[in-house]
Amino acid sequence: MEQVRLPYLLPAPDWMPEFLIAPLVGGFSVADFLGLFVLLNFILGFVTFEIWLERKIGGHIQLRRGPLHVGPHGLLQTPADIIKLLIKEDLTPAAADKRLFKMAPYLIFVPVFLTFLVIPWGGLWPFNLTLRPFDLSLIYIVAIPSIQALGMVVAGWSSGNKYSLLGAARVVAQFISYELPMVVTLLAVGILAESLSIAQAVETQRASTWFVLLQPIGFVIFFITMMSEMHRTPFDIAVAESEIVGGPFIEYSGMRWGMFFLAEFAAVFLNSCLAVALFLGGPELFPFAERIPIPGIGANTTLIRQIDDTIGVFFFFGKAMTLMIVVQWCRFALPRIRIDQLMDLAWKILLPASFANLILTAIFSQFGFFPFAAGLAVVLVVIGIIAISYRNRGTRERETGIRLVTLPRIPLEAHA
Amino acid sequence: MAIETPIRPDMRPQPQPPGPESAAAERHLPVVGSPRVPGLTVVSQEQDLETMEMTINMGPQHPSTHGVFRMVLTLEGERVKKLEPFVGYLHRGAEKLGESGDVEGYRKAMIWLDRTDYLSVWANEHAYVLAVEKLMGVQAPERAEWIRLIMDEFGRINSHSMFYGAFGADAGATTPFMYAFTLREALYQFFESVGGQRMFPNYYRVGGLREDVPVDFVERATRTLETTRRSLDDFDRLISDNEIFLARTRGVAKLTAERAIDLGCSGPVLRATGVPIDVRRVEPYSFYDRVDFDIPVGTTGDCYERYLIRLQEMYQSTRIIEQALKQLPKGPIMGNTPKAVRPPKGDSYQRVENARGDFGVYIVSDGKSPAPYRVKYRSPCFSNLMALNDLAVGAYIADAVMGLGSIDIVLGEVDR
Repeated sequence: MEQVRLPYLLPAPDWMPEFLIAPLVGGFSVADFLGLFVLLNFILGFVTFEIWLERKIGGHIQLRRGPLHVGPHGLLQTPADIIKLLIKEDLTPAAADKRLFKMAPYLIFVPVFLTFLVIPWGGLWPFNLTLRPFDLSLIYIVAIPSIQALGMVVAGWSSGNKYSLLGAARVVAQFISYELPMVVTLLAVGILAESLSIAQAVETQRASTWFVLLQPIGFVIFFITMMSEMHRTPFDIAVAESEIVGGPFIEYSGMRWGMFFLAEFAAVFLNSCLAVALFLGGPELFPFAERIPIPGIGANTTLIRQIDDTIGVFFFFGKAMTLMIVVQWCRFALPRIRIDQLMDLAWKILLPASFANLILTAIFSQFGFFPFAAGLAVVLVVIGIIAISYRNRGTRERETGIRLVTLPRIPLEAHA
Repeated sequence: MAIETPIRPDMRPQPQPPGPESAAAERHLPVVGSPRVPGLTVVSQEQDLETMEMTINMGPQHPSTHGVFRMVLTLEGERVKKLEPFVGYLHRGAEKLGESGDVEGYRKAMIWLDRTDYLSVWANEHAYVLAVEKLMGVQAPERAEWIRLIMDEFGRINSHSMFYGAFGADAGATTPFMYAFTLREALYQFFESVGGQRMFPNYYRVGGLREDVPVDFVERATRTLETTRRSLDDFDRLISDNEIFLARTRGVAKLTAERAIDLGCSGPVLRATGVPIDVRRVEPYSFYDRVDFDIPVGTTGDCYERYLIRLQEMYQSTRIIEQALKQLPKGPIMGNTPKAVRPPKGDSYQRVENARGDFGVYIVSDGKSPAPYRVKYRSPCFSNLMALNDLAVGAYIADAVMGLGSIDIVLGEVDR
């Protein structure tokens, strides 16, 4: 769908590398500013809702009720919390590197917000809602969020606290471990889409089928690495509360602390959106909807496409929210993995798997018996998941030495 | 009666052995202190790689030190090189206060005893009243003794369920804590209906009980037992077979049987190493010789076995309670013990198996005063805590936290 562009207000800077200014090419128009304004407010509002949702889900998983009293079903709990955070004292520790300390929350929140620019939200008649559907967006979504890791390191270092320093060290170790498999996985997506543009990946998926069916291993790796990128349980090693008491955030208070959590929750939504756009068909409702014959009409490709173009954004949201709930569910169901275990997982399992995935994708997309290979991969992944979930059944009886000892009863004369 | 006070070694903090600075000086290495993070010292410097040791203070306000325990860790990266425990932040002089009551001092000492180990209150009270009864040569009526036994076992379930929650929190899982508190609430409501108090019942009396149990005691107990069984199954299903939980606990913080015996460990910590010692069997008190139960014993002595043993002990406790409820007779709950407790001159010692291990009460009476001349509690927590160095040194910080959690200390009892 053609985007109507309004006159530019600011020229794009020409001294920056191309992939960085790509979202700015053509400069800023009034529509861009309007779009940014709407996007920012939407994200802030949505994050407020998301926090409520997470607390509610967590509550129900944990045999509680979650927020209940502020507003209907506790809906206003998060706004109330934000107001509380805003009026709290903004403390800066004496040992802190003050300028960096104050900068870190922005270093963490801004990249997340910037990454939202390239999300192809899908159609909402008569618009196609993407702020910046530019060509290198696959590289952009890796490059920009990695600034977030820098922000965590800055926060950890500048706090002048040893726990936050440990947290910062963990952020670095974690970051270099998960980022590589993620990039390699995205390359495989790029091969399938024959482009480094997310919008093109969505278009390819709508024309063929969802990449989750062609790239099941890729999807699993992406899901794991994105959980790691967001520092969510079970990968919340950097902020591990029971070990290093919040890591880089330990010295923050008030709204600066709130910014970190805003960024974290925004990142959950962001990464869910990315997973939907890259693997789950973007605004498409069903993977094979176009081939399902409608009674009386037959398979109608145009009609289905029109439906997706008209209200696709809601399908996109539905899928993103489902994925988001899965992430939240993981948070309440799993313990935390240890840092060396994460690095084992990333370097010894995910990285080879992602390379294998990349090579197989390249070979099969070149020679073309892709559906067969994809089907095989789906079956393998399903078998793998079932095998893992049943692996530990009865472990205790088999592998641990717990046994019940019956000692003889010694009669006690005192009570006889 | 002449009580001699032996000259004790000076227990105050002594000058510390030479730290990393002088170690580095001995090896003629440059010492570089970080300007903003004091205590961060370069100890070895090669051509291009320098490693740093970090001294980090964990506690007394750290979330996973289970109270106000403090340890000073010397870290090399993520590994713990040295661990110095500090106890005494919760020292309230419970033993000395127990000796100071002027009216009904024998009863008042028990109030202070309740406040030491606030999770395993029932068994501790039991030890105390049995010690005084031994000194006076009286016995509680059968009904009272059975009720004591039932409440002891409910108390054990309560304490172990708190271990379960805290251990899960140490591992980074939030849900076990809430599950544990759900069970705890049911148990505390039951305790309240029996003793009138939730945490500190002060219910046992020398020679019996303070008052009889409610009329529907058996029904209530059976109902609570049902709730407990359901909760225990939930506990088990929630994390016992969890892949990450297994990775975090199996083979972590191991203790050998010889070392455990040398250190004076008891309870689940000892039994996990494969030593089937349980005071309820080896030196039975109350009516433990009239009930059937097994003693879960491990082999490797790692965190996972300590966890499983506690879980299994809770099941065994439900078994004991079930048998005890069947055998609960009718009758008086107070023997013909004088209201004013004045034991004759002498001393007595009584061991019980509380949730943490071998708990003992030593009482000296001078035959005149209304309060014990000397009260001494043999604290299983304190002895078990001695194993911490074996568990934590050389491990990752995360494993050190798990090791500490698996000992299941209650600081109130360690410090007394």
